[in-house]
Amino acid sequence: MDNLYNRHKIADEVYFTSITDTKFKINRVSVLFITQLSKNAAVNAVIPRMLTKCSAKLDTMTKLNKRLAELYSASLTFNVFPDGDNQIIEMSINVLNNRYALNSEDILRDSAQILLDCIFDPYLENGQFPAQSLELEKQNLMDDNDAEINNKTQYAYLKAYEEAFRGEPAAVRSGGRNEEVAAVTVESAMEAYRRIISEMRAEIICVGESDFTGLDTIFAEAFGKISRRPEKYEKSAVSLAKNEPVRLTETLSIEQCKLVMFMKTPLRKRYALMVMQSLYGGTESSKLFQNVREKMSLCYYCYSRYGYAKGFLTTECGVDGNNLEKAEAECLNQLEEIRKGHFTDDEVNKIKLFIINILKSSTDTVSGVTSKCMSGIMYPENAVTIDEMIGNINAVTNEDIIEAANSLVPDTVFILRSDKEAAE
Amino acid sequence: MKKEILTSSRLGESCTRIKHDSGLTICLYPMKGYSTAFAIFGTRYGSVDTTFKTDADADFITVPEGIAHYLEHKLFEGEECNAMDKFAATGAYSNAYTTFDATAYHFTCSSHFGQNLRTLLDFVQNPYFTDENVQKEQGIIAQEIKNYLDDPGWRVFFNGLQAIYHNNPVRIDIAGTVESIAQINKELLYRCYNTFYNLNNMTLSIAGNFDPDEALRICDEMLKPARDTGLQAIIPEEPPTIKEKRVTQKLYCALPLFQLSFKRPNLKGRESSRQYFIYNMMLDSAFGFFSPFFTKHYDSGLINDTFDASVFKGRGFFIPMISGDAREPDRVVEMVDKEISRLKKEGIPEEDFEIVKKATYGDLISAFNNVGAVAKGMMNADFNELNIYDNIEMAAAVTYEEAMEALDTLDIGNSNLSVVEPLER
Repeated sequence: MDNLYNRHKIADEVYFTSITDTKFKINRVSVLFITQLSKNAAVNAVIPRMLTKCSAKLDTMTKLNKRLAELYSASLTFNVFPDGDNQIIEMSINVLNNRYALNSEDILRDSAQILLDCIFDPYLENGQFPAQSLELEKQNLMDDNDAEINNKTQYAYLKAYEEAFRGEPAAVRSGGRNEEVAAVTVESAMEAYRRIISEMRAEIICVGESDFTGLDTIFAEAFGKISRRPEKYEKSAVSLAKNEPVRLTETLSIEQCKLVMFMKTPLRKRYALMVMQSLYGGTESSKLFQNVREKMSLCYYCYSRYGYAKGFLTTECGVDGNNLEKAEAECLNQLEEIRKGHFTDDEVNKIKLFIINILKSSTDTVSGVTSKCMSGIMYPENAVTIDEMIGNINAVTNEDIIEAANSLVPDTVFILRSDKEAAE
Repeated sequence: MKKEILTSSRLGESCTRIKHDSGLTICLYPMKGYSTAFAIFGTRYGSVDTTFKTDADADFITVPEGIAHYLEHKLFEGEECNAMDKFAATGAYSNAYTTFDATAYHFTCSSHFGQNLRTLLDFVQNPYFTDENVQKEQGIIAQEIKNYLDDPGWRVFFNGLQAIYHNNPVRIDIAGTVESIAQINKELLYRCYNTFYNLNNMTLSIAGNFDPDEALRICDEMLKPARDTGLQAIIPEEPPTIKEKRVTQKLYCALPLFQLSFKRPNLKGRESSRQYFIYNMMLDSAFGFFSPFFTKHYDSGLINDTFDASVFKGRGFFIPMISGDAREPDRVVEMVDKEISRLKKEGIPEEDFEIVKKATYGDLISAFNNVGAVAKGMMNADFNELNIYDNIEMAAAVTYEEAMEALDTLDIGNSNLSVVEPLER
């Protein structure tokens, strides 16, 4: 891993990785902080919002955004997302290659410096984040948290997810709960900021056309000015299925019902589960798509997701209320078919080729390369290079698939019902 | 066969555009170092094309709403097997989409390019509709329609279109309604297919890791020559004024969603694209992330980072829009109106306009980074009577005076405000 991607330590629990690929016309520099999901999730989630609005040097949003626009629309973004039991706080910048600069500017160096300034030299007043800006960003985060309801498919998934991992760090929303966001103060925000830069494990991942020479030194210097006291990195724990599966229902005034089923697996064979999940509900040739959608015309979407870190597999669909039972029964029936080995070598080969195609496609975008690199860093036990991953996919046998399907244990069912259907 | 090599000195790259003997336009953009190829086969046929004729028809026909999208769903089906199965046999990812003014079928693959291109050219040229397979799709599309009915982002957008236009078919939902799709049968699908899926009305565009000679050999072998049938699709006359000033719907959402749409006359071909850059640069200068407007109202909490000001355009429509999530949509509109008036008097700072121009250049060059974006970009450019590099030059040629003229046309009096308000849980 380290040699392949030139990943090296630049400070205590801070690693720098660069991947050069000259086909790209852009460069991406990402700084990712990793910590376990906890009661601090809310305050942690506020911080990148504060940091990407301005810095001590570019001390207003107008100045920062104007400078980014001058750098050929450099895009400074943040993302706070869960990865199993962990919360990842990402701040990144995407920029055009220097060779397209109209006035010979060093776009990459200037943009990377902006990212560094935002993270390490934030705009503060009397040593604190300005109270008014903090209140604004707290409100924006709470609004984003509430906006889960805007997308009913995702809302149903998150409800089921929360129930499936109740009592585990993974059940904590990466944006925190709104009561916790509301309780953030200038003091607790500053404390969280210090914790992020001094205690959290950090990965800096650079992908693009540049060779990124010297960037590791700049980041090393920035982290070197901080007294690092890294917290212990806790790997996500595989989740055990409940003794009795839980079934939850919520009724809303909507047009279409949503069904989400969570199953859990103690099996740590990632590639077997990946192939099994794709065969079950990961592609247009999958069992769910071909049967629940194409043959029975019950759904527009019907698919499954697999989560390695926590060891789960979902089944999800949108369906008319009067077809809910039929859809649920058929989804389970299709899983049963796989458990019994009722699939052909041809079906499995198609699925493997599909996964391989997706893996290769991921090398064609800087975000895809960044994400694959991060996955390799977080889960080194699973293979690192695309070629290794392809080898592992090809090595999955039909028996592995049957074993994977039989390892799944029902855990949680969440149904978002429509009151319109109930009234009919 | 007419072959042109198109070159961009800014990018230091070139691509090929061919008018094939079959009538099809073919755009080829091999990209070194990429693992995948992306091929897209599209027709100038979308949800707005509800009334049309060819020179073989005596009269215009009006077809049910949502039929272009329905046809897209059904075209994958063949007599022996579904085209998706053929793509899946090689591991390729395939899909399709229907917009207001186009329908396109595409695949991405990292191997078996030739085989997949054959599949694409084969299924798009060989429809197979039966009463049974047409009927089967109704349940699936009805669920797709219902999924969108619960989506506040989609509804605020559509309600806005329905409120600014009286007759323009862009006001019709792309997928139609559960009722309108019930009227669709195989005869109507064949009629639409035979009218719009004529190679003279279509473009094949390929980018990424592929051999252009192999692609052309396959095209020569598989394309069925088509006669230009004198297709006419009618976009009805549209009054210059909006239909409704304000429309509201209640759905589950966190904050109210709003969309302010300015009614503008329809623009055609290259001029539509040129004006697209002029208006977008004007909107970015006036309301973009570093504008005084954005900073002031973001800081006051009136707007947030969902705020957007950009042009929505296609064949038969051109709409400058301002949208986002906000607690007080009417107050946002009031502030937008004030800002437009102020800028009309005082002018947009010329320095800001120049920065926006530089940022637009950066965005346009960055788009050449992705095989899918390049293939789609070539097809869309061709549908707009341009080539893919024209956009860069067109954006570079926009002047400050043109942006200010565009600003002068923004008239709140002839705009609609569409709002989706939160439904109590």
